[in-house]
Amino acid sequence: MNTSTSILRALASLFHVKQSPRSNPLPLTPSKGERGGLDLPSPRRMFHVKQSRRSMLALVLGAIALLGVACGGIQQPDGWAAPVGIGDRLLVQADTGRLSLIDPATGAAVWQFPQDHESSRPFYATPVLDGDALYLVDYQGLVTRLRTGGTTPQSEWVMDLGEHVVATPLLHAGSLYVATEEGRVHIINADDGTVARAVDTDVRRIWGSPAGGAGAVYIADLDNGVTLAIDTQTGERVWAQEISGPSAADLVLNRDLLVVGAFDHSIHALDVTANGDERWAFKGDGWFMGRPLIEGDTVYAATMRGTVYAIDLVSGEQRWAFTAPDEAEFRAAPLLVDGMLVAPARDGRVFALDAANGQQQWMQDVVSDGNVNADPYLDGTNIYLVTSRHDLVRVDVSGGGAFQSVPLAAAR
Amino acid sequence: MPIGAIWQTFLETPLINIMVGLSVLTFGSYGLAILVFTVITRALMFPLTLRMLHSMRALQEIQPQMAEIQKKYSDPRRRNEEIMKMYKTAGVNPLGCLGPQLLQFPIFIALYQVIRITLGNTPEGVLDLSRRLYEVEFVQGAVPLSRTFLGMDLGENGNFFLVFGVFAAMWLQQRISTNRSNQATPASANQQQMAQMMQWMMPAVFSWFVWLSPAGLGVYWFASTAIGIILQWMFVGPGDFTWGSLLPAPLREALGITLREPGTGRGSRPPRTQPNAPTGGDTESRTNDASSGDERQNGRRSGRQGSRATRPSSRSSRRRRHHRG
Repeated sequence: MNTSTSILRALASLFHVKQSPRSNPLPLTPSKGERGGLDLPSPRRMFHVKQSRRSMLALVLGAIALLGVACGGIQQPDGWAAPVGIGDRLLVQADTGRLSLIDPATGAAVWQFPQDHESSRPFYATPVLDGDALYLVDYQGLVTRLRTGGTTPQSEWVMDLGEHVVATPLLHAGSLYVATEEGRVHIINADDGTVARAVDTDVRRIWGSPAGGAGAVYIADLDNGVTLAIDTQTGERVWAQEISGPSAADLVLNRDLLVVGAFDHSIHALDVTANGDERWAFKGDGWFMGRPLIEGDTVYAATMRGTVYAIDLVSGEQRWAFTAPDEAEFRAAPLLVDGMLVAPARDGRVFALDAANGQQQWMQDVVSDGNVNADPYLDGTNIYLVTSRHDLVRVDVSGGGAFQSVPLAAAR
Repeated sequence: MPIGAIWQTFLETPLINIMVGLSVLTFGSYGLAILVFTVITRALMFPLTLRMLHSMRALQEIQPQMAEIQKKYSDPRRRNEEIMKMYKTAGVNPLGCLGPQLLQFPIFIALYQVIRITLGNTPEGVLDLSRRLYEVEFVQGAVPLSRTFLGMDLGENGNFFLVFGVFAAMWLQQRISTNRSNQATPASANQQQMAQMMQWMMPAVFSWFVWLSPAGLGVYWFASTAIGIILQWMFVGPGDFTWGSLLPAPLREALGITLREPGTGRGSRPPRTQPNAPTGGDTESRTNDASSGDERQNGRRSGRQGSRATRPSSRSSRRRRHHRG
């Protein structure tokens, strides 16, 4: 039996009942002693209601309302594009689907894009700056190149890919590589916005930003756990490796080593000169979502289970590990500032660790409302964090984590 | 512990892990995992479902007697007493239908949440799954899950075929659970009107809901309804429903298909003659309603011997009485 129907049917069977005169051929005249159906002491009397279509309709609507309330609250995409510095200004997603160039000292907006924004078109891909050309890709696949030199941005070209885009595009050798959730990589001529080639990779969602090397671009997918190399000239697949797990992290290429953070709790190092053969894999305690950071011969990476690792780039051996307390979760990429590894946790706590040994230097809870999903932006010794509530916080790393909220109300 | 945390800890999160685990066992197909989950839940609820089906059957069997009582007693208090007495005698518990259904409601709602969380309709949603998985390699290694099943994206809204399937299945279930032989009794006209309304309204409402919900939920609902139809057909019968009734009348005539007469199908038994059935002579009549009420106030009860007669003699009802202890 289906649920609601049977409940209603059962309830209806209890609602017996004073037949309405229309439906009953025999006249029903209340007796003298009968004052109505609701004044008797027996609990059964509570079911003595007049059976009518209205009561059934009310029950049906009640069941629908219950379902609606219980099943409501569908999550809307917010976007996690990281802030980008343009001169001494900062480009942030100050509202869902709207980027604002702001003065980081005051929060005042210089310009906003797009003017008529839609909340269904958030930005997950971090804008890519090349000189005064800015490449933007929203979640619905609208690619725009803006010229940012003047007081207002000038749109130079727009290309609608019609596919969902989460991955930050890669600008490589005059082409913009936009990887989509449908598993295609669109190679767009950066000058005029024409699509030179759309490469169908036979994989599904691509969330991590591609990495570009000599003659090849590397991508990893979220669904099948495939990492592959695409020839930049022909668009043909050079090699594909399935040894890495599903990946949502941005790829990092260091000489001939491709470092892939994956959901199989591992960091994989693939040799791009040997058809992507795995040189080493390091097992952590959770999903690696944030982009790994390579500094010298060390790889720094943080998991969504709250542990930061320092790993030897050559051997894949662990150098140190730091587990943040109270169920911290790292989605954003760590940064290296003044010999300190700064890792912002999703709940708004920022951990500064000694990059040499992983000892905690300080910790500051800098976000009162919302989460930190976006990568931080580094400006000198300050880092800027944008929250899921589209608030902006500046943290002084060298000053022990002193922080200040940048008011963005005017920029929305 | 707040109710939200209880819901999450004891229902939602275990269900998330069960579904992820099942998807591993079903070769990585989340759609198959939903089907297996549906079968498991229906199997676990089978004792309650069986009881409900017996109650439904008994309710159908006593409809004629109910109609008699409706006719005989105009005093609602007395009428209700007689109906309750008949329920007791027949071993029918009207609330017995509610057990499995009430149990299905939280499962349905939790499954809705689970499908949304496990398949993640936004990038944020996909990452939120990380915190909800148990530290079991088997489960942790299963994500992200395959979203496609029979050409549908299980995380996106249901497509036309799924919506139509849910509508058709629910309509059929409503149809076979509505015994139209009772249309002959004037006393049940209201109920029949209500049943007619529900036969179209409920499938329409749920189809609309499936249209707006993740397709995975529609798959569960369709499978659960299909299992319900099979169980109902097996244990209660199709009533007066025949497949031929789905065809337009001219086509039926052309094919020489005749419809089943009301009351001849399994589950739509005609009223039996009861040796002790109440008759107009030995029970109170409409003319003495007022006096019966007064007598009750004086601590006297009237017409008891005439109202004890509606006992279905089916084996199933006897078994049920035994079960109920």
